[in-house]
Formats: sequence, C-alpha cells, structure tokens
Amino acid sequence: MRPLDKIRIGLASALALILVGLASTPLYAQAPSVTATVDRINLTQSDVLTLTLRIEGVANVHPLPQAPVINGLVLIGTERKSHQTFVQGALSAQFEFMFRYQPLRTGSINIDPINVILDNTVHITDPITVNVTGSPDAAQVQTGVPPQPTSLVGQDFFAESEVDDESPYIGQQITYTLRFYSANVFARPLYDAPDFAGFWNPGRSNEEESLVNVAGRSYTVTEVNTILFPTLAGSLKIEPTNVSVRGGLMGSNVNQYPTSQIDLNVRPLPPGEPDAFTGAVGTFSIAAEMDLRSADIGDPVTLTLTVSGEGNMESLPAPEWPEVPGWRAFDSDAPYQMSIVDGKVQGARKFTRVFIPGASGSHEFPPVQYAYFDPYAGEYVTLTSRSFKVDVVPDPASPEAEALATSEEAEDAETQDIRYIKPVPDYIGRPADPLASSSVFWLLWLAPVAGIVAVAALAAFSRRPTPVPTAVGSSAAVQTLVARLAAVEPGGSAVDAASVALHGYLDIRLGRTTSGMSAADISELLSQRGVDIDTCRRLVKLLGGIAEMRFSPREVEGVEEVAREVQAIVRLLDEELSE
Amino acid sequence: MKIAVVIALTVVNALALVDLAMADDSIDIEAFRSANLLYEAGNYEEAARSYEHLSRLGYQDATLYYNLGNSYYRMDDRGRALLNYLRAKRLAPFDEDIDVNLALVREEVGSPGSSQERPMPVLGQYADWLPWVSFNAATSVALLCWLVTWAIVLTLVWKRSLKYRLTLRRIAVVAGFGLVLFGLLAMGNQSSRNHWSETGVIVGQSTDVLEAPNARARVEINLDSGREVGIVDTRSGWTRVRLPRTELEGWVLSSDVERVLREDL
Repeated sequence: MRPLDKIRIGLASALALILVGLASTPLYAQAPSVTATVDRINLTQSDVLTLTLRIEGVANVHPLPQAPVINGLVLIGTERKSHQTFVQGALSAQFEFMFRYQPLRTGSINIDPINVILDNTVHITDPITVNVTGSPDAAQVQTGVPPQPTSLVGQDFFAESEVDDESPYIGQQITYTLRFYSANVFARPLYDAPDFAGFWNPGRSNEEESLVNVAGRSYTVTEVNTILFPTLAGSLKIEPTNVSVRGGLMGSNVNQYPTSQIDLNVRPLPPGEPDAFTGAVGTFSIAAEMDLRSADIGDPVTLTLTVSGEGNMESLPAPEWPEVPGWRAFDSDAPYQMSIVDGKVQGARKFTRVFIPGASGSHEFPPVQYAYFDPYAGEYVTLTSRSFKVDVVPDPASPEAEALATSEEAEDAETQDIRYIKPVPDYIGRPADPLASSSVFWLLWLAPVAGIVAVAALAAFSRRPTPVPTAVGSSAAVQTLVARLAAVEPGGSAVDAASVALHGYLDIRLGRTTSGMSAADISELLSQRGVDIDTCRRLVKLLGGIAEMRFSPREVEGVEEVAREVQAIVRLLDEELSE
Repeated sequence: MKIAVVIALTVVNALALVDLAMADDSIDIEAFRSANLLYEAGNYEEAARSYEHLSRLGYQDATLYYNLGNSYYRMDDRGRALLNYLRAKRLAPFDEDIDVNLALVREEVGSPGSSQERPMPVLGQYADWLPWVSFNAATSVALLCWLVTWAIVLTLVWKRSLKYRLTLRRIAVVAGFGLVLFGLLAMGNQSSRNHWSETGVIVGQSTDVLEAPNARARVEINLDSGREVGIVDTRSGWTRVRLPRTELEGWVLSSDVERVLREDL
C-alpha cells in the first residue's frame, strides 16, 4: 500500500469516527432540568445549610434565580458555579446556585418549591423539609485539621492564606488570598477551597503565578485571590484551604498542605443609619430618569434609578421609593452588571418602578434618596436624585374635566356616539392561502438560473467551429441552393441571385473562388475533376447567358429558364462530381 | 417606458381582482344581511353572534369586524369592541368610521389617543399605505418583475444586436424598481401581520397580571377590559403579556386576552 493511500484511509477513518461521534451526541443531549437539594436534612442551629439549585441542559440562565425566602432560615451567602460543554454543536451547561442559610429556630422547616424560568418555561423543584435541633450534632463536628507548617523554611511545598482586612464591616468587600509555594516545577496542586460560610462569594477568583527565592530555594508561587463579602456580624472563621499534591510512583500518594484557619471579627454597621438606608455597603453614585413627562390616565410611567459604584451588586437593595398620591406603583426587574477591576467588585444596577396615574393634573415626583454605608470612611452617605414633574391629561369622563369643559363641549360629549354599522359589502373578504407557502412559488424565483444555464449553453453552441462542407456528399447544400433558386422571382435581381448561387456552389465544390474566373477556366477545372465535357460546355453556355442578361441595358426575358438551367446544371455537376 | 408602466399597473390590478374573485360568498352575504337587520332591530347579542359566526367561517373583512365591534359596543363589552375595531383597522387602515369608533372606545377604556398603542414597525407602516395590495399580490408582482428583469437581461446578453434594445433596457429598469417596491411591500405586509399577531386586547372584565403562570402567583397589576398589550408568549392556558412602552410583563389567563390577528385564521 502506498503512503498516500495510507493517509487517505487514515483521513477517511477519522472522518467516519467524527461522523459516528456526531451521530451519537443526541444520546447526551438533554432537556432542561432543575433540581434543588440540601446538603443535610438534620442540622443544629449552629450549622449552615446549603441549598443547591442545579440547572442542566441549557446554555444560559436568565433571569438568574434568586435566593428563596425561607421561613426560619436566614440567607448568609450565595455561590454560583457553572460547567459548560458543547453538545451537538450547541453550548450546554450545568449551573449550580448554592444558597447558604443559618437556622433561626428549631423544628421542622419547609423549603417551598422554587420556580425557575428557562426559555420562557417555568420549572418547579420539589419541596424540601429540614429538621433543626437545638444542640450541635456531635456526628457533624469536624475533626481537626492536620498540623500546619508555620513558615517556609526550605521545604518542597508550603501553603498560606490571609485576608486583607480581618475586621471588616458587614457587607464590606475583603480579599482572601491563598499562596502555594512549590519547589517542584512538575507538581500540579489542587485546591480544596473552604465553603466560606458567612460570606457571599461572587465566585470569581484571580490566579497568578510568580517565582520567588526563599531560604536559598526557588519556588513557584501560585496566588489565588477570592473576593468575599461578610454577611454576618461577629466572629467568623475561614476554614483552612487544603492544597493537594500528588506524589510517589505514578502519583499514587496524595500529600495535603493545609493553610491555617483565619479568624475575622466582622463589625456590625454603626448606629445612626439614615432613613433612606436599606442596607447598601460600598461606595456608590446614583442617577434617576423618568421616561415620560406627560401621560394620560392609566398610562404607565417608568422611573429608573441607576446605582453604580463599588460593592455587592447582586445583593444591592432597592431604594425606598417615594409615594406619590393618586398613583399606583409596581416594582419591575432590577438587572445588574458586575465586574472585577483592580481586585474590586464594581458595576451598576438599575431599579425601575412603574407608576400608573389615577388622577389628572400636574404631579410632583419627590427626589429618590439612596443611602449607603461607606466602609472605608466609616460613615453613612445619603444621595438624592433630582425630582420630576409629570402632567396627567384629564380623563374626559372625569368630573373635573366635565367642570372644565364648556357647556357646548359638554353637550358634544353627551351626544358623542359610535358611528353606525356599515351596509353589507358586495363581497366578504376572505384571506387566500399565502403564495409563499407554495413550493412552485419559490421554484419560480429560481427560474432565472435555468435561463442563465440556457443562455450559456446557447452561447457555447454558437461558438462551436462551423463544419466546412466537403466536395463530396454536399447534397444538402445543393438542395438548399436549388430551393433558393426555385424561390427566385422574375426580374434582374433574380439573375444576380442565380449567378451568386451558381458561383457559390462551384466555390464549395472546387475549393476556390470562381467569381473572378472565366467560364473556360471553370470548365477546365471541372473536366480535370472528371466532369463530362458536354456538361462543361453546357455550364459555359449558361455562364455566358447569365453574363449577357446581367449586363444587358434592356429588360431581358427568360429569367425563369436560366434559374431552371442553373438547377439542372447543379444537379448534374453534383452527380458527376460525386461519382 | 409608458408601456412598461401600463403593463405593471395592469398586472397589479389583475392580481388584486384575482384576490377578490377568490371570495365565493354568495350564501354568506345573506347571513351578513341578516346580522345587520338584527343590529338595526336592536338585537345586538344575536347580531354579534351572527357576525362571529361569519368570522369563524374564515372571513376577514373590515366591514364585518367594524359591525361586530359596534355590536359589542352596544352590549357594553368595550374590550371586544376595541378588539374588533383593531381587526377592522388592520384591514382598512384609512377608514374614517373605524378610526372614529376606535378613538371613542379607547377614550372610554381610559387611554385616549395613541398612548397605549403598540408602535407599528416602519415596514409595516409602508405596507399600510397600500392596503389594497395584499401579501399575495405584492409577492406575485415582485416575482413577475424578477422574472421580467432576468428575461430581459438574458435576452440582451444573448442577442447583442437587437432593434428594441433601448426599450428592453427601460422595461428592465422599471421591472427592477417594481421588484424593490413590491418586495418591500411584501415584507412590510408580513411585518404588519406579525405586529397585529403580537398585539392583543384584554377582554376579561378585571384581569390579574401574575408574576408566573400559576394561579397562586403574586399579582403584579390588574388590567381593565380593553387594555392593549403585546403578546410575548403563550403556553398551556396562560399568555405572557407586556404593557406597551414599558418592560412590565406578566401572565394572564389566555381566555382573558385575544390577539388582533387570530392564529386560527
């Protein structure tokens, strides 16, 4: 087998495998599914319950599910994970939303079904019941962590962790940093991150690698930064992070290098919060916008407050909206966007409220106040938006409009009525089936393609080389010539036509132009080709007669005879030349 | 050039007549006449039932919907009156009677003017300028222009020494314009159709808009009969609606809202 054939067979096999793989992928395609699970059914008041909402079989989740409000549990943190794969050319992903709760009371606590909207379909999870007891469950108390090295003194591996602020305010962003020192460049450490109970973790970590020299050894330092927001005040701890490194022959041993536990003292927000404070912590600015300045009664008017800055955008609370007398108000979605810039979580969130006027007149919308706690300055800040004025057009049916209307207008209003029905039409419209649903319709749109092909074929046909008639077997040409002569009408021009036709035939038969030759020369050529001498004489006589008729100044007679003689001579010549 | 224009107009008229000739309604004309007589006698409920019967037979006629709207108006059913006036307006956008009655009902349901109307796409507005050209007529003429243009182009390519070469060129240009004009008209017609298909009217007397398609879900807002809404989605007895000019969306029972352009027709 030649090398080229081997390559071809290899490529064909690979293609077949790909096709088989593609054909089998539907086995893995799955419909969207939503499940809710908890990490434990029985827990104590000091435990943290993790409710995991798992969504599979979709490419994206929008809107993001919100943490359910559970009677008897308080939300202390959320976490989000996703794992994306390509299934049958489409992106499919598994999303996990973990909500951590702390019990507020003992007894049985019900977690109601959670509604998740995926592709405009509502998916509902099963209800869950957990049992909370008052005393800690000894079985769930964790055993102690392995002894931790205190410092880097030249060992192969070493892990340490720290936070940038050990006494933050509740809701303030802190950064948890894990550093792993490795003297073995081939080691691939695995991190078993703590669950960060009591913190909200946006799930975004920054990982960097660098080289350092410590105690005479060169280390690769992997630094992982995790952003956290404490959600509970008081003493909180971050459990040790276990870094695992496989060692031994074929990686059979797993060595663990835990960091030390970190204790934090989360400070509650100081007293003296302003009335407009709803729980925002960070540094923010606001911008308010009203979509309409005049409206009719019943028309929705949307007030949008955009809060932007540094802080936890996902749990950023809505403002205290002002009440406007005579208006009904409804909250709408509060979409947000968030990113990490220079290690800080920042973004913006749009809070919208739809107001519907119930009374006419000019209405003043008071400014919206938004207060937040600035953890760096350690003080509350209150921001105030601009106010808005909206004019509502009076309802013509309302008493105030009637009072404003003149008596003439009121009379018109009383007599206002719908116009009368229309007479029966000559035909009643009925929609025809749309032509676009017919395949013939669409085929007609493609008809020009057939035209292009036809024109191209005709052009190619016309450009083909024209076959030159040979001296032998030109009976078709003779028939054409005879037919032309038969159609000749009496007159001088007919003699010319007969002459041209005769010379044309002789040109083809003799393979040269005969128009300039004498009758004797033509006769000589024909006799050389085996034409009978009588025929040659007859042709000479005919050519002489034609010349006499063509150049005679008078009207000549016998044109029909000449035409007939031409036909007879040509038939005779054709027979003799063919022999 | 004049010949080409005359030919194009003749074709358009012929196609419009074909559309009209397709209606074989000699029997149902009598039913229509009876419904009008019932209305004139003040029997609005029976009149509405007769008009609805004709509508269910597949007729989509501006006069039929207009008269049906009047019947519902007399029955104090403002929601269905508004719905049928909108259906009539879709078919006859420049009918003054429809505009007057539609404006009156809109005022009475609490939203005078065009404040609650869903904005029509630009292409749809273009199609509404020529309401007598149906989608089929527009697509047929566009197809004809397409074929004529190509036939002339191919002829000019094939026969370079034609006596009427200049005339043919002019006809090709006219046909090209016709192709663009009627092609856009067909697209506009479809755009208008989509718009009306996604426009609904609340016909329930006091309809709760819920946060989720679940009878126990939180009520977001309550809509009165006659409220015009955008229809976003429909599933298993529930319809997701959106209030015009807002992002306020919610679910209502499908029986409480009707599309202006009915899907079953």
